[in-house]
Amino acid sequence: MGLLDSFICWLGLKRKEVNVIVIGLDNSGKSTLLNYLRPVEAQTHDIVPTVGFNTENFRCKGLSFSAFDMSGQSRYRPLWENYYRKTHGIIFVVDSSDRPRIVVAKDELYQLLTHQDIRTRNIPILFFANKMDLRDSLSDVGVSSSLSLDEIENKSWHICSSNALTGDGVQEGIEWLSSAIKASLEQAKR
Amino acid sequence: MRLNKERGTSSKQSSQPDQPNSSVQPENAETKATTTDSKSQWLSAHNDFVAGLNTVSSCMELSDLWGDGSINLILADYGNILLPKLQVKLKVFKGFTVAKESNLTDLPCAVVACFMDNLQPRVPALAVASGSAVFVFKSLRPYYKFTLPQLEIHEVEKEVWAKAKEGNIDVRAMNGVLNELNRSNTVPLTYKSLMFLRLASRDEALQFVEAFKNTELKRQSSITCMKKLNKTSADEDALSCLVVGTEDAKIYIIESEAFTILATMKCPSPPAYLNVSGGKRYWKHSLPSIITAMCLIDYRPKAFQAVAVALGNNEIHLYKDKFLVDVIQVDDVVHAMRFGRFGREDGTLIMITKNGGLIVKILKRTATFEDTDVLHGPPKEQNMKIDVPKRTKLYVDQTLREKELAETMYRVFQQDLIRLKFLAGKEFLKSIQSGLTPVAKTKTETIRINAEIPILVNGMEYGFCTFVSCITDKVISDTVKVLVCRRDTNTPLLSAVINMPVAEPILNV
Repeated sequence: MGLLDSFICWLGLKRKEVNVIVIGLDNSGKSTLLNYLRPVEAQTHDIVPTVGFNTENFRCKGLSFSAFDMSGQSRYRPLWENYYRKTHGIIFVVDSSDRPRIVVAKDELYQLLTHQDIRTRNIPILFFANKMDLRDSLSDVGVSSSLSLDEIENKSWHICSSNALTGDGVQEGIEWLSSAIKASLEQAKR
Repeated sequence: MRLNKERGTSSKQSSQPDQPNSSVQPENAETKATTTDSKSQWLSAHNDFVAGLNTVSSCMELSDLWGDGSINLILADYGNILLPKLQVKLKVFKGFTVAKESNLTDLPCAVVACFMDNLQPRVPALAVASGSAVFVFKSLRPYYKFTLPQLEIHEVEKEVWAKAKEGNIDVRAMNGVLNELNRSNTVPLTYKSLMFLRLASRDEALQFVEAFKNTELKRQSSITCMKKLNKTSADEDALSCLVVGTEDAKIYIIESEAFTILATMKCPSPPAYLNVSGGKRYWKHSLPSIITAMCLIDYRPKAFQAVAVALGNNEIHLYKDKFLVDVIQVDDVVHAMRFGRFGREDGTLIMITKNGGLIVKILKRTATFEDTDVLHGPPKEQNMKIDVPKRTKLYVDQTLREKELAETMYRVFQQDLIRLKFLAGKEFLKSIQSGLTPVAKTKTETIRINAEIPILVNGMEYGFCTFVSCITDKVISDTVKVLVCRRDTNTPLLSAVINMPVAEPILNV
């Protein structure tokens, strides 16, 4: 069966299913970002604060993604860690115009990286420095340094600035995540 | 000897780091500070020591001024009050930058944001209390000015000024009547009369009356503090009333829709801070330094309530009930602070320092405060029940006996004590009389033996030497008894026993 499965995958007939978790502080644009990845006819215009979580499905580079869009409100943040074990990749969305709370984002990232289900795994993390269109927003380099991303060890990560409303930078990021997940899955197979 | 000495010093040096030496302590403290920093319950969001803000806690307010879900910091910046011209500004911070500012005419004593209507979106108005008026701003534009009601003026005072208005000015008579009124202390005088009484010369007084006789006589109090009180519901965006405390010891509750006074209360003295409830002291702490600011910490998501106390030694102590749960180190003395929702974050502590700096700290989501504090307040063990062993028969008998024979027991104890004292005194006298102590005191002179081997050093004024010869060839040591006597008596003045060193054996070469 396993042989048949891999054969079908190789042919590209059946897509590999992966789980990703989308996290970040409230009002950072997680739901808006996933809304952009929907087919055009399914997109909505009014995004409301997420309660609990939502799931979205999309495809990229031969992978079928199930994205868990977690609520970023502080009271729902403890939910995030329940999904760490089964996830193949992490999308961390940062509101790059919310300078006061960049330290809060950093703290949440620190909690994530030191969590027992994440700490030892090589799990790709994609950072979106969202809301790049706003006037006083930080650049991706600025966000990266304020989150001290260069201190991340044993994980592949990528940061790209994005505008979830227009979709700028989103596709590029998701493509990186797809190839990173593929690479990490192959590494795990070996 | 020298070797020994060196060894001694070297051993001292090696033992030094173990000792709690004063030079070592600061190092320890420093390392402690850095280690607690990473474990701190607070995230340091912003540090700007040159923000140049000068304000007090009551002039800081957190409110969503534009109704966009992001809470702004509003504060009345006193500017540099040493400058001759006041530059008071109302500043609104969006994030850490001033989004808007407007000038105020006078020094405010309180800034309060409150909802005055039921319109959507919920945009609060800003009430700024200064002098004898409350200025209300909506969207930072002046909207209404509420003035405190006029106070009662004494009839005689009115008459005096009415006469002056008619042109019938007799400065000396006016001075006499007003002084009398001022001393009788029934109704306080108006500021105009008080100013008049302060003038020294007759000409000045005449000029003053001429200049001000036509202005209306009024007496108004000034506001000392202001807070808000929700009118009907406890919601954060519910309609609220303003509660105003004034210099003439009154508290007004002002309805904010039409600005009418709903209730007036009289206090025994001018209120300085509102929000005080109770009077009974529950507990008391002695703090290591003077208190510079205080604020309530009410962290709703975790139902955590504490009091933050800023101290003169650059620390902020957090007290939950009576327990010190956290200490925050700051780089400057905090003069004003406020805790609440700022921007989109619930637990934000905003501090203004003595030198005008702005510091913002955010409470970590994972922060926990435990009241496991032993140093402050009574220890927890105090509330624990002690496991008292059962009363034995012996114990009961003993207590009974103590109860019945208390008087006799006390008497016996006293007798024994007196006897002991007497015996000790008698022995002491005996030893002095027989000169057995190394210190002798007669009426005329004091002699002290300070013997050193092999020389006998004696007294302070005169000394004499004597030779001690070794009379044995055995390796033994013995004592030499020295008795100092007077020529005319044979009882020794004092005596001393000197231990001699071990005699050296005779060496046959």
